[in-house]
Amino acid sequence: MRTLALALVLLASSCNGPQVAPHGFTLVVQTMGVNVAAVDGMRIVFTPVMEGTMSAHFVQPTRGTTFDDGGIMISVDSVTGLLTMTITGDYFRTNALVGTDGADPRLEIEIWTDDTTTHAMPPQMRATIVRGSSQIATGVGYLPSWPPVLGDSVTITVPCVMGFETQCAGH
Amino acid sequence: MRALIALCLSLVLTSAASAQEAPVPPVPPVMVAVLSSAHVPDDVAAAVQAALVDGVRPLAGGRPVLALALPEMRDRLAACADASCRGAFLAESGAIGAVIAQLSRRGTRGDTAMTLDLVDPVSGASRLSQSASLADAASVSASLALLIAALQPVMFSPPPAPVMLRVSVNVDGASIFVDDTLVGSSPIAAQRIAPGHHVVRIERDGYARTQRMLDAQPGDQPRLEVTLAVLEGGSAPVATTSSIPGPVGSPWYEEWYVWAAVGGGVLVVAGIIIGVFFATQPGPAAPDPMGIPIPGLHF
Repeated sequence: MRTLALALVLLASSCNGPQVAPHGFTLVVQTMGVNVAAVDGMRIVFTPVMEGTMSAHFVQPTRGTTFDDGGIMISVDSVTGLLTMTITGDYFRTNALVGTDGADPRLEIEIWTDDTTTHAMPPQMRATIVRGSSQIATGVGYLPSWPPVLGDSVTITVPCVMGFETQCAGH
Repeated sequence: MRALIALCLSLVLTSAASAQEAPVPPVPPVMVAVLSSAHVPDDVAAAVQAALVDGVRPLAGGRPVLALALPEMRDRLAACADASCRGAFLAESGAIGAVIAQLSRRGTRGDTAMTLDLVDPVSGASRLSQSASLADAASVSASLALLIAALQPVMFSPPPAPVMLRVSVNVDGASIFVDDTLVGSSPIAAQRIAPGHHVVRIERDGYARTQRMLDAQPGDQPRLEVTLAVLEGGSAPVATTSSIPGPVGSPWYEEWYVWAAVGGGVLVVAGIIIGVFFATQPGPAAPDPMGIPIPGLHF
């Protein structure tokens, strides 16, 4: 009888236990030939890919547009349907993983969506590092699936654009 | 005197012969008495007695039918001049009543006159009085048939239905007492006991003595199944009192297993209610995944 009562109490307590938030989908931006000091900002543009004759577009965000104290902002162009994620230079420099000399910083961003509709053609991602008014590094990748699977990851390689090596070095 | 009369009553037919050891009060019998005057042939008197015993037995409702056999007892009854004397005689005998045939004959020839009375106990009054003339011993049975049949409507009430107690013990040789009277040892056949409250005790050396109580109504057939526990070390028997459900023993609500079952049932029901309650409660919303929520894609 005591065991039964204990089991009931444990069952009751387990029903209301705290739940841990799962990890999102990790977007890894791996720069090449770029010094972290040269990064004034970064943009990642998510472009829906047509599925046959059907075009897709991102809907307007409903869960906020500014995150991490303004370090990350998202917006959707109501005309083109493109989703743009803007990362400030400060956020990049603060959160990017860099070597001892500051070269080839890598930034990992977790994303997720509550959209459950599967798309055969996942969006394309173009990451661009901006210094001043110049796009000094850019790279393209694709999400492996839509919606992105929580816990998975993909890496976008963002090399310095030819001709901007000086700027990429932070000079 | 009562014991003497009882001894003098020859047992002709009885349905209670096997119940002598059980603590059952004797069922008052129906007495058959044939009182003969002088000149009545003995064979006629004997035939009358045999015919009465055989004829009254089916009417007695299970009561024993006893014939008053000893001459001195018959003479004493015959000497009674009034009903109160006969009532006193019957009361002393313990009989529920009597069928009394008085035979008389004038001289040594001729028929025998018979007066047949069904006599009430205590008062000694006659419930029914009939007369007949008996030619000889051979005609007695036929002559009495109608007279005996006429007794049925006024015959004494049958005894209350007996209580048949069955005791089953897990060991043989255990002594079984009913109200402190040893009635036998296990295994034991059904015992006829009187309706009412009884204490049944079962004991055997080396086993814990067990005692049961029962309240039996007429016609009950209580059954006791007793398990004697072995005493460790063979110490003196320890008296234990318990009871059984049903017509025997204490009420069901005093049984431990009833309340154990009730308690278990309550716990199970409470568990089900708690489980259903928590199962139907809307759980806390699952937390959002870590990271930046991006909007969905629409076609």
